[in-house]
Amino acid sequence: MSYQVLARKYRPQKFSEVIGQEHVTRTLKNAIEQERIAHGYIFSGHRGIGKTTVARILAMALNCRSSDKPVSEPCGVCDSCTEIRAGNAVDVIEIDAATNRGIDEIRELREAARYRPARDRFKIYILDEAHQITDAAFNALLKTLEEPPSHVVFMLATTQPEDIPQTIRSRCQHFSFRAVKFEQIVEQLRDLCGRENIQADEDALALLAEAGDGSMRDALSILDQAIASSEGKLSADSVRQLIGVAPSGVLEEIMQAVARSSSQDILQTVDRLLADGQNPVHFARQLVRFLRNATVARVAGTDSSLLQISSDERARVARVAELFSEEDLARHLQIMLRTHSELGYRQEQRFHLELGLLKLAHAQRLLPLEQLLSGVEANRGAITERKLTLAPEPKKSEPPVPSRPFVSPFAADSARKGTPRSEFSAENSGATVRPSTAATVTMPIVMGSAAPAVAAQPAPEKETGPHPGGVEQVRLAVMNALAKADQSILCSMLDAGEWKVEGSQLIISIAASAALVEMSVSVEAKRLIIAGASGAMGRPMKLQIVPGANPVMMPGKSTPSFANGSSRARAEQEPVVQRMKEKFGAEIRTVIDYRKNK
Amino acid sequence: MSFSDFHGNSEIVHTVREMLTRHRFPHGVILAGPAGSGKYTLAAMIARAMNCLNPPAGDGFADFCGKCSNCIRIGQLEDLESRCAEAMEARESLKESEKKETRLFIQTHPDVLVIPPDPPQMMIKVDQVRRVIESIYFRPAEGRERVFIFTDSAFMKEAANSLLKILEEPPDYATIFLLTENAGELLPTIRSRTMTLQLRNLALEEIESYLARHRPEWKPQQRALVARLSEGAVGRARNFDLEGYSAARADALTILKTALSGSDHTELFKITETYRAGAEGREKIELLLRCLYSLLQDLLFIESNSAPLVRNTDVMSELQKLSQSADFAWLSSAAERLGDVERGLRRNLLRSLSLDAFEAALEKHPAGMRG
Repeated sequence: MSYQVLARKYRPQKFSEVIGQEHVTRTLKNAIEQERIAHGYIFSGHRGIGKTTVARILAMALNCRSSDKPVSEPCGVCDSCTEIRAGNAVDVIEIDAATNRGIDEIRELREAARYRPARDRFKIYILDEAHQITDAAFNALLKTLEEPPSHVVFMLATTQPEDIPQTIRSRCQHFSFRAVKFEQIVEQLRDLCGRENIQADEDALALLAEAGDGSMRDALSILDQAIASSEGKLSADSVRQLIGVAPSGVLEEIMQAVARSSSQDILQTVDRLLADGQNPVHFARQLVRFLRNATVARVAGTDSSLLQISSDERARVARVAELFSEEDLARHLQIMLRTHSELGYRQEQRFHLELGLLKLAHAQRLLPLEQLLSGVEANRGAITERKLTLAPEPKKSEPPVPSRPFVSPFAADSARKGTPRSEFSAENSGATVRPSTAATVTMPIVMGSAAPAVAAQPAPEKETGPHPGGVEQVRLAVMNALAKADQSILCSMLDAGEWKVEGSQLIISIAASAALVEMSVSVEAKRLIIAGASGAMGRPMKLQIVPGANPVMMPGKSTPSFANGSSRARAEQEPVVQRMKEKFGAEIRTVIDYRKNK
Repeated sequence: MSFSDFHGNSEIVHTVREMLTRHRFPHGVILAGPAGSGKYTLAAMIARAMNCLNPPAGDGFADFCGKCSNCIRIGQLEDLESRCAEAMEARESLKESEKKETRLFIQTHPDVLVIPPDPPQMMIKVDQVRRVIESIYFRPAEGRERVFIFTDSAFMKEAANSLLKILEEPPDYATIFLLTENAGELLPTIRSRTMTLQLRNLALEEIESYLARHRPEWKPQQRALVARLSEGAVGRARNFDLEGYSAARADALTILKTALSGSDHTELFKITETYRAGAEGREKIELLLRCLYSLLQDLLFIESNSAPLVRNTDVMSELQKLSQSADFAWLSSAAERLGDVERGLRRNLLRSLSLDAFEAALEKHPAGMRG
């Protein structure tokens, strides 16, 4: 049986035959022409894109006897070239580094490297699968690799360059190979089919190239299989059956069923697929890829160059992308990714696949998280509003802020951001999203625990109900305390906020952002506030400042509409004060309201 | 004995024979398929067809006689389990120092070498692959083709990498088979160098007809049930232990029932207690987990209005009852918890306790807590 697989039979023998790696071949050719040959090369990249091939061609080029110096393109006919191709050249030693990975083998190699080549110009060591060489062995190679005899060239080929120590990498020229482009693979397949006298339709070639996934050899292996099982003619159907790819129509079907959230259809489709011999893991992977493409199509448009797929597939992906929103797609992708990785180590693969797919269907029934959140926000807005109107006198006239609709920052953002929280999609209980989520989003900064002086001992909670009468008192006491300590900026900032006393907690909601609050409220100020509040209430208080509470209220800028009842606004309307402002450019620093103290 | 004795997957068998006939059989082949689908059987058949001394003309495609000395000797490989046990025994009798360095191989014919995963880790080790690499360059002795069969995809990392070079460019007279349940478990670099033949699950009717021939002593209902439960794998169907399965399933049902009703635990504890025991407990609990999964899957089917797909048809009424209180969220959390139990087993958690914990975590309270 002298049959050779295509990948071996058509292994390129010249630089110009290597496909998709022009950046490597051009550099190497130039280097040879300029006689600047390094003594160490690393070739890295995915499986089946030409690392070993390039190493061999380079070896041929260096040792080719068609000229008396290295040539940029090997002749392929001289003794050296033919021997290298056959793998029995004396001076080109190709080592399976995965098997000969120990320090002993490397020592042997080092010994042998000292001797001059037997016949050719260079003694060339090709270490294939170099990532498997042990650390000790690599280190043993360091000195040799740094200053090898002038006749030695090392070539390391690997799929995992990160496993090669830095010290080795710094002594070599590193070429990283690119994945071969879809069109280039199709082109090459078409060419080979022509040479093998095999008729293949375009769709079949596209499918093969797709299955190759950027690797020439993968595509060729499958082409081999396809040729073997067909009679000189390749059709898309036979190829599809062969590679066990679920026809992408099925993927579309599944996603349509998901869009309808019809569990029944999903399960039946899966049953049919698995009865056809599909592997659950394989299928999950395909679906992941399909969803990825759909997401890309949704985000970047259907004819984006990020989609390396055939035109048929493109149309299909576009149709599915139409069915879902960007967030949905991203969520589905995430669920499928999780399912796929779980399938890897779970026993009952079929069950987990079905579960994962049903999760998609259930996720489809969920409300978008943003919508839900904004609903919660709106509710909260309504609640505070009601509180405001119920609040006692001083607040009564303060106009609530409904003039500007309470829009959750998430709702505004939802159009762009397409990354829903995985916990929600995965849990599938989105309907029960607790309002606490919304609360954590606004990030209350609890400071009571940070202030050691007063709040350290837990408050004896005698009376926990709201203390409406106390709020103004507390506010006054705190303001006084702050004013005395020259904290006027903080004073005005806090004054503009909304104050609340809940149990032993003083909650101040202000407009400033969390960062600003953190900056302006020092530990000292905190202590002052807590001391003032505790004094006014007659019991230890804790402080909580909720930043970003009310986007309309701007601190420092006193709009007349704002807080008519507050003492500051009154003071501003006082004619005397206004005149002072006018004449002297005075500003109000603190307002001490004596009405309440009387 | 010939290829016609291979049950199911006729297209794959046909492809194989065609490739053999046209001398286009690749040198590296992954045979993938679920447990019991006949991967090993097929590989051994191909080995025979490659080396048969007087292949029958038959239908014009490659085949083997099963009578010549090559066929007979290669055919002795078929009973893999007992061969492995034999090899293990042989190794046990070695000296301690040699034992460590001796790896498992099975060879009944000089040109066909079977490499099973090496106990106790049950992985294919680098020494085994080295041996293959050393011997692969010997020309065939009595046959035409040297065949190497790796019966499992559980490779040690170095072992898998060692295989790469030899897989890429094996000598003309050698063929390497890699058998796996899931081709994805193999390194992508290995997959790219080989051709993958995917064996599929058989249809229900196919298995039933197979059982009718090979297990005539079973009742028809029994056969139908086994056909459903064996999930399309012939090997599994033939050796199906229905009694053991039913017992385990009864236990599984009790666990689920207790979890869903959340009332009386005495029966549950009685059951889980029996899983405590030592060595054979492991197999027992694995069977129980399989049953639990299969029941959960059936519940999932019922919940999604796909009752015809249910496999445990003989306990349908009980499943229906259970499904009334099991919603999707509960099922999916149950699956997750079951995964935890599985993981726990690997770390040798107390089995009875982890089962109790599984049940307790899934208990539905009347108030309707989150599932």
